[in-house]
Amino acid sequence: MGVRTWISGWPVYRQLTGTDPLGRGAAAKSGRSMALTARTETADSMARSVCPYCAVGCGQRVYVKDGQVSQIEGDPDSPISRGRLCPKGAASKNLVTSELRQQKVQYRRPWSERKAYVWWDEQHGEWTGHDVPDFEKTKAPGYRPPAEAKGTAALAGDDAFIMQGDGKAWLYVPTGLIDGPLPAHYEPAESPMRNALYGQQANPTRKAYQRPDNQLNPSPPEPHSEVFPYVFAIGRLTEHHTAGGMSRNVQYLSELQPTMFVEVSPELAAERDLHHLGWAHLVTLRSAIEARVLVTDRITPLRVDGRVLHQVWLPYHWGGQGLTRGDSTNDLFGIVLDPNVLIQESKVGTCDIRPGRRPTGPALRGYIADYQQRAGVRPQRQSPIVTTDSYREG
Amino acid sequence: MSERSERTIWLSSAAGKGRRGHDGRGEGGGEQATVPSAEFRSYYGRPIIKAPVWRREIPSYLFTGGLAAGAALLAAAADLTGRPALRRAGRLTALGAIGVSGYFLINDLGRPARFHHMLRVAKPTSPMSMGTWVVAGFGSAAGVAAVSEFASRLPGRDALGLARQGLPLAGRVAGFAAAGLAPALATYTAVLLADTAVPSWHEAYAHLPHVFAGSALASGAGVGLIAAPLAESGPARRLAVAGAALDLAGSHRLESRLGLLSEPYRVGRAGKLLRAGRILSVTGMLGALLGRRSRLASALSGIALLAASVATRFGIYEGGVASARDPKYTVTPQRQRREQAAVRVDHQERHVGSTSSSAP
Amino acid sequence: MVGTNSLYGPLDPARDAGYPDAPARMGFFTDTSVCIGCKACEVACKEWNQVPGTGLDLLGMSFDNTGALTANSWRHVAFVEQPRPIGQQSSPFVDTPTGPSVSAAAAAIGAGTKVDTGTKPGVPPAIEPDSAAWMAAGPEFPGMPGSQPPGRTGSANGRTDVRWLMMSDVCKHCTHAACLDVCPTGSLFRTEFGTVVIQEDICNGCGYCIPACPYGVIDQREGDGRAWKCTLCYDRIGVGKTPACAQACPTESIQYGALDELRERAQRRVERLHAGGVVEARLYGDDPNDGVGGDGAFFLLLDEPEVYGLPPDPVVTTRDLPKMWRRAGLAAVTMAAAVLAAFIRRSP
Repeated sequence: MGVRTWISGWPVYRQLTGTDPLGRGAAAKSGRSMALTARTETADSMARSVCPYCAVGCGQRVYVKDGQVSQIEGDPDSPISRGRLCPKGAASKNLVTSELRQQKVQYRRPWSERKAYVWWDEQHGEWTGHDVPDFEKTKAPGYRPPAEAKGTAALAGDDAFIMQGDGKAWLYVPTGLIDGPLPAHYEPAESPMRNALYGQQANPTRKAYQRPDNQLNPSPPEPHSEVFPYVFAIGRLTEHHTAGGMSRNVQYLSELQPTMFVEVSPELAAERDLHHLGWAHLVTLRSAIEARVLVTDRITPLRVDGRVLHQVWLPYHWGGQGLTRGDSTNDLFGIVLDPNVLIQESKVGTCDIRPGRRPTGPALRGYIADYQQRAGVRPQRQSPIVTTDSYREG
Repeated sequence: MSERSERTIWLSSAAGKGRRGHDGRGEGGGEQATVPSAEFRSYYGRPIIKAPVWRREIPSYLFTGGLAAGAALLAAAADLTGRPALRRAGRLTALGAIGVSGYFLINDLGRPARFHHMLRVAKPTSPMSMGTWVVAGFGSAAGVAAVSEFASRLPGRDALGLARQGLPLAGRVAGFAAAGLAPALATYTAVLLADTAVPSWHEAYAHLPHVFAGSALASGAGVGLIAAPLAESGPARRLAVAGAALDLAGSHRLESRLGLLSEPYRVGRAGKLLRAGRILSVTGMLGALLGRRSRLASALSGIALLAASVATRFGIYEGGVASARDPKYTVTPQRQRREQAAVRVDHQERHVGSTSSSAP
Repeated sequence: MVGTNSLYGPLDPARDAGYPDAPARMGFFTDTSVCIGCKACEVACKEWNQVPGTGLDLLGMSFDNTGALTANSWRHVAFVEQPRPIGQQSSPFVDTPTGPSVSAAAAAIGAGTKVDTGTKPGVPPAIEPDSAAWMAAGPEFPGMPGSQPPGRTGSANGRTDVRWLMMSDVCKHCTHAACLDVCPTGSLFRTEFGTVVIQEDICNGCGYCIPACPYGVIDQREGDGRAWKCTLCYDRIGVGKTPACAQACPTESIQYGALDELRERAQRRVERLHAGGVVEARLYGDDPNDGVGGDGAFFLLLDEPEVYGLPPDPVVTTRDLPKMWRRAGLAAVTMAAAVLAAFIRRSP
């Protein structure tokens, strides 16, 4: 570069000879700034896609440069999202390009020979493969049931949708609702309150797995429900996604909500000696989890049926892996399923809450055993499903 | 509701240091615990502006820059009045101090290798930009002036012989140039500090230049007292008194005329440093006056004046940083200003709105 | 070209900075009354500008785990939980066993947490947590019927209601930008859009811009050494795109556009809110006659600025610069005079 070019590029010279004598604007602009452009303009290609996170399906534009994703942002042409994204969608580029990602894709395309996990072995007349076929082992894929067939014989050789009794995926339910069709108020399977409308406390058709390791907290009319006097409700944070696998591994999302926490009312904090930013642990008959405490006015105690009922709130995004780790809220729940679609009832339950961190290892089991004893629960106990008899007696 | 008092249970886990306790506020504690003793609001108490990120190099530079300026002035005047020992002490100190200053300034940068970017622009709105050019000019002039002191050591032949002949004159001219830039060098740093959002610096913009000017003179004079023989040190003595007086007057105004914003200069580390600086200034001043017959006393006064300058610069720096860290120094004066403006508007509206008013 | 208001007062900053054919001035209007606190803006900004991550610290400042604007967080969503005053309504919690509000106490605890930003000075802990308690004690409505002193809100029964303020803070891109004025390398410069941008190829980390900013926006990245802040996506708006945060914002709380159009829109919005009973709504930074000449990024707030961490009456330090130079000149002359006086006496 000649001396002249160098001097004419020198901001002091431009200050003296140009429109910006104070050197605050045009004179101070560097060559890099003059050539600046958005990297979306210089990308090799752009694909329209849909956000990988939740079910809303916001449109995204994925820009690619040199074989790498260089930017992911909202697609203004999407009628659903008009170019906007929540923080998770906005973090998609980091999710996709993260070093923490598995590099080997586990995606299997249907009918791909190379990626089959189970297949029909014609020679031996059975389903076989790398995985265990969850299907009748010797039913050929070409089998079509005769008209009068009953039971499993009525399932065709490719009716493999095991979620439904007829092996087929259903778009709607014409008949066969186990529970319904009219709504009724039932308390949750675990509740500190007696059902005020019916003698039947909770859904009598619910699927309960009565096992020693799946005890439900005692609920009225069972005795000792006061051992777990508080209600916990769980929900989402906007910064994280479901169980956290796609957000607790992403730096930009983890730093926005970096810790598992529990929100309690000031009244409960006073009652249980909980401190803002201190530790607390919640206990049910299954397990105990720990969380940092946020004491907030947004949580209020309720007056229900003449007594005070405290509630707490937990996010359910944490687990043992990732940039941010914490106890999993689901450890508090037992397995109780709704009878129609077998979805776990895992949004509310009863619990106890205590200050400090929870015990670990064998001590944790001992701690739970202690609660079981106080709740009068023996390992072989079966939670009552039908409660109307006891109500009549009471 | 629980009978147990909710008074301070959730407060007791508060992070410890510097927190005022709410304990023992009496009945209905939860409610009273929310009535704070602070007179202002801020977002979770965090600072509103950001404190300077400069390290010790910058207050150190305030000292060495001032010293270089004072020494150059001393040297030039000594040159004019035939005091060669004083002149030499001044010139060498000026170069040494500005050299160390350069090291401090470059080292404190986040990207020292890019220090030359300072010469990209010359912005009158930026005291640091203007100061960079002053430092560059002063440094060059002080360099020539100092080198000329060693002209007599050069051999008398060839090119070096020419240099030996020409250097003294070049040195004199350079010395005057340095002295010409010296007042700017000494005072631009005061504008630099004041030209920020730091409350105790900005509001002190009228006083800081005098403090810095006085401190620079006193430290330059201090070198004269240390290095020059008694016969040549008269002016240094007088300059020491003048500089220290100017410095003390300015510092006093800093600590008394700024209202709330004087507080950071009186308390804490800054307060201690400024008080030490005051004591050392007075000591140096007295020693300069009374020690005219003792080389030792003169030297000790000189050292006291130099130490005073260091303490004062660091004290002012720390005071500013303290005023930036506590949001009350930013919020309180601004809120008062807003409220006074609202009162004025209110009065105006009343005057304008009144139909039967005979107000002027 | 330089004019009478070059340092202070209403001004068209791009034309003043040497762009005679500057396009319309662009900026942000952030309407905090519709902010849902989702932080998409924080993430979208970081993704576009490839800003480093910060520490994983639970700050106890409601849902704010960022702390403040820093060199590694160019958008910062602030959260404040306050009791809502009752006025003439009845409390939604009558007969529920609620006690007094704890927002103030929790805020005082959150004031002391350490924020690991990877920058300097970052977000130091509070010196007076009481000011946090007052911030969270509730809004003040001077002169409004039913207004209460801080901390004493609602009925004697206990808690009233909660309001949750959320605000996405950003660099204000002031008309008179102190950071820009003091930058000695010309790294900070005014763009043709009227925005203020740091040129990362020029900044040498002198740090002067950091204490100059009256809003405490600009900050230095540790390790890197340079100063960083919001660029108003200069590279995006230069090709006609929307800044990343404004594009992502699901509620259009962050609006990007020509500044005078945004100001009109904001004024209509405030009037609508006032008509709807939200009397605490006010604009901040929209007035060209304020201390910084009006902000290129201005806000609609629902409480006093300091509740959100904003200065109540920011003034660009450059306003007083001519006076400062004069004072320095006076001191310099005094210096010279002192030297002359010291040497004038004939030496003995």
